[in-house]
Amino acid sequence: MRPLRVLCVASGGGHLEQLLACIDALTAPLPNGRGSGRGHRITLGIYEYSNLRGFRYPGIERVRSVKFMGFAGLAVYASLLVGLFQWAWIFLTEHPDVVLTTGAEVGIVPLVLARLTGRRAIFIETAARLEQPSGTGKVAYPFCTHFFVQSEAMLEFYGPKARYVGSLL
Amino acid sequence: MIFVTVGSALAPFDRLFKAVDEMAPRLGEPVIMQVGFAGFKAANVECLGYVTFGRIQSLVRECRVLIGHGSTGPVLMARRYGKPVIMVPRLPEFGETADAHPLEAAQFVEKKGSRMTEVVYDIADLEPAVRRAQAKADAGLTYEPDPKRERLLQAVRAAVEGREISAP
Repeated sequence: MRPLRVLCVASGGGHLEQLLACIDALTAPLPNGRGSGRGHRITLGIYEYSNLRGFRYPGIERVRSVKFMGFAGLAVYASLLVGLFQWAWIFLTEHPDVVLTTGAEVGIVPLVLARLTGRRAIFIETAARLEQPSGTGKVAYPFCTHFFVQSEAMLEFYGPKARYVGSLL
Repeated sequence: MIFVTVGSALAPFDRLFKAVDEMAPRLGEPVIMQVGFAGFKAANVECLGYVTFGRIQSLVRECRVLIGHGSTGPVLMARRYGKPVIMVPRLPEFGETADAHPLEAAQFVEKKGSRMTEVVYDIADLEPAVRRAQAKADAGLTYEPDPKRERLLQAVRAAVEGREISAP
């Protein structure tokens, strides 16, 4: 198969760690990959956190970032609104075939845009959520084409799209 | 080198910092401790306040033993770089975290069990755990394969590629 352009989105910390584990798996060589023998082509989408400035990781071709305005109250809605324009621009310039996110809320807008434009929209509920769903998961669920949880107990909170096949932890 | 990382949470974690600082002279190798925004004045170890995500990755790659707060970050980093890890979950009753997610994640890791991971709840158990982890590093132990983790990664890759996901 041809390598796909995958827009991989996460906030920082544990969410990003889980995304990097997925990126390792996605950039392993394709079975009958053409030419270079590389895996899929990864664009990382993150917040403009200062501790992520200049971040590089094997297999990530490009890093795109969106504005971060805060965790609480109105700042979240403001981030979503500004993010809408920034993510739309990233979509127009990156042409992702697929969006993959491990949360947190930074992944919501790109998932929605992916779904609206007929692309695969994949969400992985964080491995730290074992007994109760995350806010992001609840908002993201209807927009996803694929939805993974990392513990069996989490299946009861979501609809039939949710799958449990294992955990990264 | 032993590296201690506590993530980017704003809450203090002096229970861990004090214990590490106190035992450091007996451990026979340097200790570097990322103490985060809350800060900490240590007598025996090098403390880092603000650290980038990339720098944390290099420190984990360079260390022999990783000590981390609960949650997912340190466990996944330790596995990526093949290091023994000790999880000391931040606990709500000490004001170290707002919710119990580090504890839940630590309990999950403990239940799953790996020769390279250990969870410490009572800080008095930390020093013997560090000694055991040092012995693992000396012996060159590595992570055993994890079929469930592999299955999730393969399912994610299948989803990305638009293939059918085989049932577990």
